Amino acid sequence: MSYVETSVIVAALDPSNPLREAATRFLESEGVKLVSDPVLLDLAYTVSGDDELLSGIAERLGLSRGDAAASMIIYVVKRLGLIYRSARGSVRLPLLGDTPRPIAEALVLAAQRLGYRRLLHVAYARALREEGNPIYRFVTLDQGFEDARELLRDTGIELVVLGGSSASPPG
Amino acid sequence: MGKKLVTLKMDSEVLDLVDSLVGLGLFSSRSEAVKWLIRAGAAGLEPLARVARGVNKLLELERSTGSPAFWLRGGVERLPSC
Repeated sequence: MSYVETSVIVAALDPSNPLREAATRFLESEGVKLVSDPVLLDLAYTVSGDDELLSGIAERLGLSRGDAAASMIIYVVKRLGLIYRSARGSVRLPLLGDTPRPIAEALVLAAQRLGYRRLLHVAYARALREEGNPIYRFVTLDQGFEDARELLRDTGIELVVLGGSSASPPG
Repeated sequence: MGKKLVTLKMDSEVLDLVDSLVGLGLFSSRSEAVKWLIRAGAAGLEPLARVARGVNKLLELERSTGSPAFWLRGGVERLPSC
């Protein structure tokens, strides 16, 4: 089972991305591919960031922009055969009480200075693994996740960065 | 609007509620009460139904054209950098 980071999904749907073929090949390969809440949020950000695309799809579907954006995100997950899973467990933290497991993970990992988005993905992948999902690979195009390689390995997850650095998001 | 006969099993707690509504005179029969409750529940699901129809239209669009319903051009560059 692989945790799929958003850059792989978005590149597979971008004909101009030089790593589209590598992303598509991975997505079409055998094995369960898991996505979680940070991927949905990234997709929401990506879809809503292209005003012309979102307006066009909303008009074509006869939906509001909000309903169209939700439809587009679910379509992407379904079309690529991805499995959505949310981390459901919680951890009791001092003074805070019950805290969702990925957030508790993120608090502990924050000192690694991965950046907000990468931190969330790593925290969710680790939390999902700790909840019993047999995730053994974290797949991305973003070389910025190299800084998290050891954090992932600690929980038995191998980081796989597809392709080169040209498709990495800035930052 | 056509009507069809449907037989369904209900939890006894729900059936008690139905009978209470009938007993209070809000509905003339169990059938009327159940029809109203289902309509009320379905109305609450309408936002989800709209999105489900949207997803199905996108999948139909892909089937008819043989390519994705839309592209996310430049999408990787638009991912949050923080």
